Amino acid sequence: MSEHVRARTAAAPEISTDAGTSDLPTLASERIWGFWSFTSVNVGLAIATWAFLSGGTLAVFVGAETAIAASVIGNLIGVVLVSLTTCIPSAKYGLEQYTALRSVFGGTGSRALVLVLFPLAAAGWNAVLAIMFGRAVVNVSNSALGTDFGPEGGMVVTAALVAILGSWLLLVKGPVSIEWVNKFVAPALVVMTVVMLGAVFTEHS
Amino acid sequence: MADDFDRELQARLAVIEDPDYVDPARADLPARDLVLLVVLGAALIVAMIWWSYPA
Repeated sequence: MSEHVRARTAAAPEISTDAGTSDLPTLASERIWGFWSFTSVNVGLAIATWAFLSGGTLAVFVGAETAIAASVIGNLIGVVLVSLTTCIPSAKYGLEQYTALRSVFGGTGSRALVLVLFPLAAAGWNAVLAIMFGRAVVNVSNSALGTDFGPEGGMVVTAALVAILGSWLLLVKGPVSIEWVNKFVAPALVVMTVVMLGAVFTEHS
Repeated sequence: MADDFDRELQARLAVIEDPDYVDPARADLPARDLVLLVVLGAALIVAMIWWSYPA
């Protein structure tokens, strides 16, 4: 705990808990992410695997240019609004988002929301992402190595489980490992996206 | 357990509500940033529609 915090809590009980791993408000001196860390994590989250898959599916129906425009415009409007409502309370007051939800839904309402969200959105959606990863691995393997793995075979399940295990290993150390990983992942995703866009428009259009 | 949490929470609130507490992140977003966001966002949307949707 820094002298800055100690000096400002002379009239209050000693502050000892790490707010980064609890739902207590985080103080300025306890923050471990700065502008670039926050930005790299958000870039890493924004350029997600499922975005490639949904964008590719959209392009099948409306063409590449319209799909890119629809994705950019839709995300620009939707993500900005969502970011403003969630990031500002968290950044300004150091509040974890589920804690901040209590101001809208109350304590019981937030618990009910979490009970629905975690099994469906978190566990369910992560299972979908893991299967997407497994199928992507199989597709790449079949194309590049000449293998013949089926889209619903054991290799897909194995790769999906490896993805879940790898994600757990990365996330188990909390914001420290997330920040470290995204320092490499975010620029790599940006480069890969630009290369893929170049390939789409120069070789396949 | 609950008492510990409440004591910790009250200590932190005392810090945050202290008039001398300095935290740049608590400043409101500058109006200039919001205006830039709206203007540049609208310009990008118009440009993307012009580029991608056939007349």
